[in-house]
Formats: sequence, C-alpha cells, structure tokens
Amino acid sequence: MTRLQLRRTTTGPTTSTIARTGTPPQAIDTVLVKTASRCNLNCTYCYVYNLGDDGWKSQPRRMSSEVLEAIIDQVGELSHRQNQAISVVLHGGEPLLLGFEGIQRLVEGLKSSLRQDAGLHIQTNAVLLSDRFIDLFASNDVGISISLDGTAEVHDRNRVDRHGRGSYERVTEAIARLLAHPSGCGLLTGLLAVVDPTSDPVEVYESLKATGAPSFDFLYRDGNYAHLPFGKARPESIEFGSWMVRLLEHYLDDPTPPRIRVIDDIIRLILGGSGQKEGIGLNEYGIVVIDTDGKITRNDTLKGAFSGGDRFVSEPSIVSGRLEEYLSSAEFVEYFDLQIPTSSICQSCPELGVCGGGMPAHRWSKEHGYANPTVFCADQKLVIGAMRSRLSAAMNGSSFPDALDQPVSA
Amino acid sequence: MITYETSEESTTDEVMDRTSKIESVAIQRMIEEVRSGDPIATAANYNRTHNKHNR
Repeated sequence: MTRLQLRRTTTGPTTSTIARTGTPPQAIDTVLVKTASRCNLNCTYCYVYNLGDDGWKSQPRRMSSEVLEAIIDQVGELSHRQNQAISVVLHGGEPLLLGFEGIQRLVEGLKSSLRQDAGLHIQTNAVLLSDRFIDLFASNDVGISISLDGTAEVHDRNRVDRHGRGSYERVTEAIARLLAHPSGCGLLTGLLAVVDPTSDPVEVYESLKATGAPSFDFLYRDGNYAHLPFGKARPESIEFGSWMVRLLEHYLDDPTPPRIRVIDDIIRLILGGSGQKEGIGLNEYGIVVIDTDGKITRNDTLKGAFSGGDRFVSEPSIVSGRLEEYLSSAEFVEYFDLQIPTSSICQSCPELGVCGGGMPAHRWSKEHGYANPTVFCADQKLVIGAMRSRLSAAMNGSSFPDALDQPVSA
Repeated sequence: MITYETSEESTTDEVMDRTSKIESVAIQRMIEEVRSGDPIATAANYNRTHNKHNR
C-alpha cells in the first residue's frame, strides 16, 4: 500500500513544472473511431452538429471497409508496440449507424488485433441498441456507455430526434434491456449526462441512480469566451459550479452511492492521486481521432472552439499513411501540448494541480486563442473549494494538514 | 501518459488513521483507492476500458 500524499494548494507552480514538453506522447491512451458521421438524434447542445462546425457534412455517412481494415491493422499494431494499454472507443455521430455487419467486423477484428489488455468501448445514445448488438458486445467484452441526461423532462428538453421527439423512453428501455442481459451488469460502464444548470441536481442524480447503472459522468455544456455555454451568464458567474456543488453534497451524503467520475477525480486529485480522464488535473493524455473518412484528427471536442478546430493542416489519413509515424510529427506534438494550460492566470492559480485548466475547447477566445483559463474557471473554483471543505470537515478539520483548506472563494 | 506533479507532499499516515471515522462512503472509497494506488480495486467495472476521452 502506498502512502497517501495530500495535494496542497500551491502558491504557483514553477513554469518548468508545467511547461509544454515539445515531445510526442509516450503512448496513445485513447483512439476514438468515428464509425458514422451522422446521428439519429439532434441534441440541441451537440458539439459535432450544433456549435458551428460543419465538418460532418463532407464526411461519408459510414466508415468504408478500407478504413475499418486500416484501423484494425494499425491500431492493433500500435497497441503491441507501446508500453501501456490502449483504449479504443467507437464514437460518432451515433456509432451504431454503421450497421451491424460493420460494427461486428470492427469489434471482432480489433479483438483479434489488439493487445489483450486493450479496452474496447462504445459511446452510444442507445436508441439503436438492439439485443443483437448487446450479444455482440457481450461476446467481445465491449464496454457500453450511454448518454442520458437525467429525468425524462430534463433529458427530453435537448436529446430529441429529427422530429423533435424526446428519446428518454427509448434510452431507458435499452438500459433496462442491457442490464437484464446475463452479461449486462458487466457491460454497462456508465451513463454520461450533460448538465442543464436550470435542472435540479438531486432529481437528476436520483433518476440516473434509479436506472441501476454503476457510474455516471457529468459534462458541462460546451462553450468558450467567444460563445458562452448555455445557462452561463458571464465567465465569472457560477451557474454550473453551484449546480455541481449541490450534486456533490448529495453524492457525498448518499450511503449507497454509485460512482461519479468527475467528482471522484476531484477527490482523488485533492488527496494526491491522479485523475482518470482529460479535462481535470494535469495529466496529458494521448488522444487521437480517426474520422469516418479515415482522416486522423485532433480531439473532436476542439470542434467546439471554432469550425475546423479539430483538423490537422496536413490532413493525414490512416488509409494513405501510417498512424504510428504521424504521432511523432511536429503537428501532432503541437496538438498534444495544447492540453497544458498556458494562461498566466492558470500558472499562478493555487488550484491548477486539481483543475488542470479544464478542457482546451473551453479555454478558447478569439483574442488569445487557448491561452485563457477555462470559461468555467469560477465554477471550478467553487466546486474544488466545496470539496476541500467537505474533506476537511470529514477528516476533523483543524487536525488535518492545510492541504485540505479551502484556498479560494468564488 | 505524462504526469506533472505540482503539489508539495505531506506525511499522511497518521491522518489516514482517522479515515475509518469518515461517514461519506464516496470519500472513504476514494481514500482507499488512492492509498492502494489502484482505481479499479474497489469497483470491478469502473473505468475498466480506461477511456480518457471526455465525451
């Protein structure tokens, strides 16, 4: 057992500590495979379709066999060459729109080509999650994450189909069917919810918990300094932070809590551990996207900064080139280093080690590019401060190291 | 993955002895996970696909 090392707030990390590396990632953590470029839902807040980027329009609707085979071959090879496990995520659009035969070929091909410790995963809205797909994923140990925003009312405000009809009933029916499958409890890795700051976080929490899912994750609505997120009046306002604090209080008081990834990460980071995903903490992750046409792109969340923000200038392709060779290119290294926050405000912030500057797409402004704190800076200070207070209180306050003191007030 | 450590470190064994009194299950299990260094140890299905993409 390792000694726990509580992460103190800092008076400002040295620039050498958080400077951009200028070197390629030591390994690729996650390969996102855009099996389909379209979606059967039209969620109002979607960063792929409804935040200004129109790259999807020029994409083929579904991945071709040529692209699928290149991915099976090259990502499989990459997994064997690097020292840590790789994760492959089927994503979209709605990834199941590729169709059963295409998904089957990709999943079975990857299962065969990837190193044994690799993770296979799909992020789906679950509307097309048939029993046939569930059987396929069970046979190949594919983790399933499902998008669900909370109660029927909250979910159906935004997660609608092309006819404007809510999808809640179809999604929760699919979750129930998945959990009823003999392997279902092991397959459902969790629910992914987008925060509506006008909703009641306790109702959202309880409705997600009632599905029986083992874990949830919450995303803030996308936005930046050029386009503020829905529900956020000003960069310094705290609508999302206030919502999240109410959520974490309820979560921490629950005697039988599921997992909430983003809150668990904040606790871990304050306690001196590491975060598990991008967007919080100062770990840099090697994340690469293969678009539907086979183009290698940057993190697709960068679409949310500006149109084409996820594109490399040289437009590399996994069909005409080698993925592994591209990962050491100057263009890729520049993208990889984008994760490190460069704003002077972040560099002198006592909570940088926990916050990490947030998602790069949320730092964007027309004036300073990505050299800003996250547009959710005030929200994050509030949430991290609240968590420090709860940890301090839980551990008997004054007898604890000042690492758990609340350093900021929003 | 490259890890940047910006924190100072403090001795916490004595601090952790008190964690058995913590009532919050969510906090208690995070302490156990950080101490063990294994986020999967207390939840078999949690993050098992180690996806780092935040969407």
